[in-house]
Amino acid sequence: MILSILQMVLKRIGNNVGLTIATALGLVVTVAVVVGVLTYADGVMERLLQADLTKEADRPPAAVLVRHLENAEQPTDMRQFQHLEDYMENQAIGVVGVPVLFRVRYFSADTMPLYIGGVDDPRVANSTVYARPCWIEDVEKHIDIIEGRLYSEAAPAPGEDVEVIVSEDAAMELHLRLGDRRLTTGPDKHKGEQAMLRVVGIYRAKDPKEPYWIYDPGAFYNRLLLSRAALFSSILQPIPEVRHEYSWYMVFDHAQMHVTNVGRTITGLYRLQSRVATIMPSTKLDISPLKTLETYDRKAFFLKILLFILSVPVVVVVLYYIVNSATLVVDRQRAEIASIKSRGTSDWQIVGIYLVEGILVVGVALIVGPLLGVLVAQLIGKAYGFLLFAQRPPLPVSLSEQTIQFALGAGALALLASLIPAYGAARHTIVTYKQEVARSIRGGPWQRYIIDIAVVGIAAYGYWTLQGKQSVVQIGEAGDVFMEPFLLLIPAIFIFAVSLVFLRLFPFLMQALSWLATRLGSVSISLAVRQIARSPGYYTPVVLLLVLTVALGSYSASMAETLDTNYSDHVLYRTPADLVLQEVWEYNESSKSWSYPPLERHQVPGVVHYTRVKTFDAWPTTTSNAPKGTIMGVDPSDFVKVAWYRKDFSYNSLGLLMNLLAAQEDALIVSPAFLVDNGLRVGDEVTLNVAGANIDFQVRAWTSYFPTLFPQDGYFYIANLEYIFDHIGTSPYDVWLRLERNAKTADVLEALNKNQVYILDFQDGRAEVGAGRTDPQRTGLFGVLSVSFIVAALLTVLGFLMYSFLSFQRRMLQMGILRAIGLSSGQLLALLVFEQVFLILVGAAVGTAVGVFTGNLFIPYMQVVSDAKDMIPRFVVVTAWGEMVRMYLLLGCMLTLALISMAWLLARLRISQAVKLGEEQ
Amino acid sequence: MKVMASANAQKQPSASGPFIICEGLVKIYKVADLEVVALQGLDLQVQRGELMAIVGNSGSGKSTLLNILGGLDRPSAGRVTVGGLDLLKLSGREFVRYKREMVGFVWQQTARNLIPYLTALENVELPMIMAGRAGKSGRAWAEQLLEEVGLAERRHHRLSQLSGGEQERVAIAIALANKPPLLLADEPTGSVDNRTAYQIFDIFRRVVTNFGTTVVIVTHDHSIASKVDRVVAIRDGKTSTETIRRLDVDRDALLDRIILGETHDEYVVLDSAGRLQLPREYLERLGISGKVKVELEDSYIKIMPASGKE
Repeated sequence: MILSILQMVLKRIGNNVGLTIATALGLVVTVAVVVGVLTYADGVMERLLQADLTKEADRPPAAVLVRHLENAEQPTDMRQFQHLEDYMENQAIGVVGVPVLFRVRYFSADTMPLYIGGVDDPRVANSTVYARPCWIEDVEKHIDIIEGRLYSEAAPAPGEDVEVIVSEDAAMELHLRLGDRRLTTGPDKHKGEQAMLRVVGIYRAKDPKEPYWIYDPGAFYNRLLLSRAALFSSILQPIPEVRHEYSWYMVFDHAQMHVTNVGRTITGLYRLQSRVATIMPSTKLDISPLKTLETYDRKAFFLKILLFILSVPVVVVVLYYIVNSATLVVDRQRAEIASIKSRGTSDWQIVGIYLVEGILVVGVALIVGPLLGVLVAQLIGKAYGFLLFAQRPPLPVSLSEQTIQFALGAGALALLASLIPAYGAARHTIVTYKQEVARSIRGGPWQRYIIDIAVVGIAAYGYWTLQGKQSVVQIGEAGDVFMEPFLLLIPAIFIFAVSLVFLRLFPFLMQALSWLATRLGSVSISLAVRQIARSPGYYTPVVLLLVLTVALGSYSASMAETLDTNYSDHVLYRTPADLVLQEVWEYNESSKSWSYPPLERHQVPGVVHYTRVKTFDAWPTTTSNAPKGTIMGVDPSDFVKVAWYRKDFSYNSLGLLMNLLAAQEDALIVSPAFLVDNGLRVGDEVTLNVAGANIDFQVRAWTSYFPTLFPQDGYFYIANLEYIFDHIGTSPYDVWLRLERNAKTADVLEALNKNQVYILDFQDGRAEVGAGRTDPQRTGLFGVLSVSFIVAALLTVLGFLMYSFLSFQRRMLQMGILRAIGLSSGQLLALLVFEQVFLILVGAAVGTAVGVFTGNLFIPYMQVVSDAKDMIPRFVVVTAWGEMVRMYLLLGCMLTLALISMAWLLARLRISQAVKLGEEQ
Repeated sequence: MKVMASANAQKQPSASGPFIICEGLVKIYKVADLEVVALQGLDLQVQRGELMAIVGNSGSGKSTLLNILGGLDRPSAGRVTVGGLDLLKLSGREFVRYKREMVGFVWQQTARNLIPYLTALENVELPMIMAGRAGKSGRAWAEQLLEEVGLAERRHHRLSQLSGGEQERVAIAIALANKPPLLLADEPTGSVDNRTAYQIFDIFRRVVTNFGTTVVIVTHDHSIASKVDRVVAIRDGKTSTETIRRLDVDRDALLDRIILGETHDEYVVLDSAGRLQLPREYLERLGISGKVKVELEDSYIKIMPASGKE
């Protein structure tokens, strides 16, 4: 029986291939998006993990040091020590769970005195040296004995000397030579606990840079190496007051640390930490990658949350699309369902049929989806702007368990979505079905007011919540990021709400337009508009889809552009030129003057322009106790060609300001606070004390902001550098450069060097802006937004295609009649095309309006600030018209393709036959 | 399959009482502000194994009655019992079972009866699958049914490959898939020619004889009386007349029953309140409207136009 059901289901699918594929595509896309976003997050975090782990140059990554330093109050309990050693030997590595590259044990005693003769030998009263006897596991493999020999492994018999070896440095430091004997005691040298040490060899480390050396061998200038047996039997046991130190050093294979097992590793390390402290108190993890891992883990978590939140709108859009195309499928099958039901099938059996169909389709989706998802992940990784992709090396991709779980969940969700219309239809019998056909065409539950009210309510609540905050994200003092994910969703919810409201008004809009259209006189246009006006409910889902897509797209584009612009403005305010150089100046004591590279020398290949800039502290002499301010000296004609400035900093352009300086050598541009606080006006004369000299200026203009100058730091002024130097003499200044677009910073620096311009330090404005672009969070942000839009656009176009085609099929008879009464096929085609174009235009226009409006309302909350200074320059909302044009082009191309394919499909329907055949089921 | 000539066309009085009992059946439709009374207190009884037809003009309520019998609609008032089951007392689940096990339906539009992308055989198997009774025996039964309706060699054809009459016949086979005791047909011969109509009625009669199924046909074709046992006419939502076909049989011939001729007796049905509907032609001929005079004679009742009334 299962076989026959399956056969039937397959035949069913075959009957509706086009629509089923369309629905299936929705399912595939759901899975692909979920897998893509998660895989991207995993991939980029994997890269970040390895980068973070290997960041510390002086230590191998993933090194762990378990160290016990004996506590004076708690003498070493040898039994505890045994336990600990057992544990470290057998279990420790398993607990951490990562393969280990190598281990080294390092046991030592605290510093002990070395006496040449007896303890009271006057010869060494003032020059007692101290050394630490220690044993390092496997040390013999890592050193070369240059004099003498290695110590013997066995413990010395009582009365025998303890054999030790020392490094060359130690030999020098401790005044030891081969064969020397030294007496060593505990802290109380008269207690009688002592040992006699004899230097039997001098060594040198084979490769001091080896990861083997926990401590730099150079630090062994006071260490005596001996065998483990000797250490215990001759030093640690007989002289109990000496502090013991036991260390286990392990280097784990960081290449085996992945995103997928970071959590476990962190837990393992904590377990290790608490275990060793329990077994033997005062044992700690002195070195471990815990902090790195935890920081990383938190970063990864936030990234995932961020990307997840960003994907929610597109997933909702896809689910909506699935419900719609499933509705179309079910609508076509209504008669069939009604007839089956009337023969005595329960609702659940009918849903069951759809469930079997759905499972087959979901099965396909779960195979194709993840593969597509991997591609999506790579695409996300290549984004650097909205719908802008760069060539970048591919991400390491792997499908983690979590991703697969989410994929299954997404598939199940999509399946449920596709079953909603089935359940709705299952409740009709033929009788009720005919009743409903007789009534006007209703939209689905989406048209019910309750959903509108709910969504608008949530959006309003969200907006009200945001009013009280400055930003969606706050950075606390510890540098931790605090973000309410819900707030990131609010703009999307708002867009949904406004779109739904618009759709309520859509029928009225169409009525109005239909009245207008009849005045236009074109048959095609008025018929098309009337058709839409008559049954607006039919088209609502697709128009909603289009509006949502365009709105989300324009919002995303604007948000991305805004964040990008503001980020680079933020950087540029602090580094306002392509290169800011601090150069090497030489001060001649005798002539009390500086020698420095002349400006012309900066004209090297790649440099477009250059200028001098210098800032000094300045005090206005007008008032006593005047607060310190900053004065920036510039060369006006050059400065304007090099520096970055933003229109909203003042009423005047930079050019105008510089003209004022150029025209008058004592001109001064000031911050408005200076004028206001001191009751001054433009045109007044002021005197500033700069570097000890009083200089007269005349105020010619004011500006709220100026690159590198912050009102929080006090008053600021801008004046002619030359004028200032006239008063105080030339002193070292910075040189700002503007470079050609494809000039490489390194090349320019080298060229300058060759030209005898020696650079002390430099700031690379372009690099800093560029660095932000590859930040995984930003890449993820832009990537997900871009992919979301592409997906939504694709589905919208598919939706349009399906709806139009089906609507035409249904209206075959109507169209046949139109042809029969004299409408030419050209006019008919115009009618159909116009209908689609009209819907698209309305949808796109409304979508744009909604998106831009939402952007202006909510984007300011997307600013990330940790302190007031970060808010300079001011956050400006940019409406990304340029990006949106790109978006329209993409959408337009897709829709044109859809229209063309629809026209082709239509040509295959023989409309003229429709009248003959009559109404078909 | 052997087809027995049915000489006995009289209805068999069933020991357990009538198969279908309708008493005072009322159905009111409310659509927006419109109220339509489709059935106004209809009384009907159908015996088991009867082949009967319900005729009436459009709007008379016959389709509504059929829908109620088929479990597709619930009456507003009155009582209806099918095979001992009180249809007003069935729960949702019991209704589903009723439709599946007790009733076979053949709809007017053949497109509704068949699923277009399945073959004839698969269509007949479908109700059995839904009832959980598919499998080898199901397939065998399906093939037998198709043979019964004479379409054995067309069993792998789909809807679009069958003619209208063939589609109708497949529909009958589908309706019988779960061996229901009641078969309902809505205008089964509406869109076919005479010869096919005859074929179809032949099938109905065979079904009654071979399977003991009760068959109720709804049609607006009044000439159907010659082909079924009993015809009940419905007017304005109530039964108005009944026509019973009676075979005159030579009771003296012992070996063969010879059919001498067919006559039809037409009766006017009284409802439980003693009301009857007078045929319209009579009323018009005598110009009767409003009131009549009724007189009791010895063995009949005389109805006369009221004197002085026009």
